Amino acid sequence: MSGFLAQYGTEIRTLTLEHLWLTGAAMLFASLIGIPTGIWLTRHERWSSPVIGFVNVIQTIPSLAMFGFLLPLPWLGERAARIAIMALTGYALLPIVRNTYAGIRGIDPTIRDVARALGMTQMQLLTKVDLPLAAGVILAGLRTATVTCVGIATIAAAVGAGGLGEFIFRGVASVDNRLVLAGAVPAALLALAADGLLGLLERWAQIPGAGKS
Amino acid sequence: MPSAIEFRDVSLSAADGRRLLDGIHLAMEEGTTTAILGRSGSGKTTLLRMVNRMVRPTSGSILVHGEEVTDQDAVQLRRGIGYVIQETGLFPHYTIERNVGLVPELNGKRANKERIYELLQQVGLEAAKFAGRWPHQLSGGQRQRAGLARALAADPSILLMDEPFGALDPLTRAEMQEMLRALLQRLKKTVLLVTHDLDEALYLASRIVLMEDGRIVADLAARDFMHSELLEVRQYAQAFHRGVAR
Repeated sequence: MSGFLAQYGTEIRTLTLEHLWLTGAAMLFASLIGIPTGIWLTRHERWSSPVIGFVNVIQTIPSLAMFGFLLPLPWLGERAARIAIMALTGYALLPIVRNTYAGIRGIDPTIRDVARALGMTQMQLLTKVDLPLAAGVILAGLRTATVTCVGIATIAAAVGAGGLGEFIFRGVASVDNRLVLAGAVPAALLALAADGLLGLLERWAQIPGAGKS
Repeated sequence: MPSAIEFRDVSLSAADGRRLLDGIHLAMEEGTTTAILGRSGSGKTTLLRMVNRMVRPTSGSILVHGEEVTDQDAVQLRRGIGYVIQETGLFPHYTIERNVGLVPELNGKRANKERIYELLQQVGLEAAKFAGRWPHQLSGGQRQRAGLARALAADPSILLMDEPFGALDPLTRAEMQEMLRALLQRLKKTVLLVTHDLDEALYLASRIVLMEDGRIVADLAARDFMHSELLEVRQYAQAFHRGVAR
């Protein structure tokens, strides 16, 4: 065991960092796209079904196929990391868009009505009412998306994007369970850590006594 | 001097063509309290919400301080009109202090702590005790008091109240009515009070407008209301007291 760690320790660290970078970058893009999209949908109701349906379809594409589809694309295909980040962003969109939309929609309509009647502008309604009251649900979406991404990012190694999947693929190819575990265990720990951390944040964002006005 | 609020031949039709409000003419003078009385579905809440442009009429015009509401900036108009509803609508993520100071805050002014404390005392809430609390830690009556303080914070000349005590138990409601009556006598606001509660209308308002199916069926001074021979008035009074007695 210690011999294994001595041999692969640095590589585990490098690949874990790579894994984190792929997931982190994808989450950043997915949030930058997904949260505004979710907000926009609450203001343009009739687009909600088609748009959420579309991001839902992205979700159903098998990840290995998704990486394959993106491979021949210009610019994107030049660097494996670009493909990986693009694909992961796609997978992360659904929980983020859906939760942002549902979170704001789920706010007591009386509260939003009063906010307008007191003279809030659209922007004030968003920053003072919608986002703070939906924060818990939005964070829950980010949490689901992150955990999913950490998992799917292992497949990115198939197109040479690196990350902990590299160990897994090598292990499978050489029938070496230790190598498979060297990829799977850190990936699982990453997922658990992300889940726990975002869970804490989510709890912190809960409104005391929300539901009662 | 123009009326504080005026409805000129205001009508509203639903998408299916149904008349929700029909030819409303009404003028409220500065500093008076008018009760809009009626059953649920009579259109009284809709009428109230036209004053702060939350509902737009299909035809006719609404004037606030002599100026058409559609010509005024909706946001500024609303900030100048106090609004109190049955469900309070306090923001659950703000303390009582921040809730009460909200309208000044929206105007970009730092809400003045002394002013908030004064408002809380005015509505009968011990400021030092309640300012830092959250809405869910208050009883229904206390929340309603805080909601009233919030409506008064920017010192609006008009106050819209939609069944403000409708969700309270009879004892608390009576207390609140007493507090509000004393407060209104001091503050001299133009108040539009929507209620189905005849006794509340008689106790708080100087004028009672009775609505039925989107039309005004009676418009009387409060002191004359119970002596009125109008069929609609007598029927409503009878129905109301039968309902209360039950």
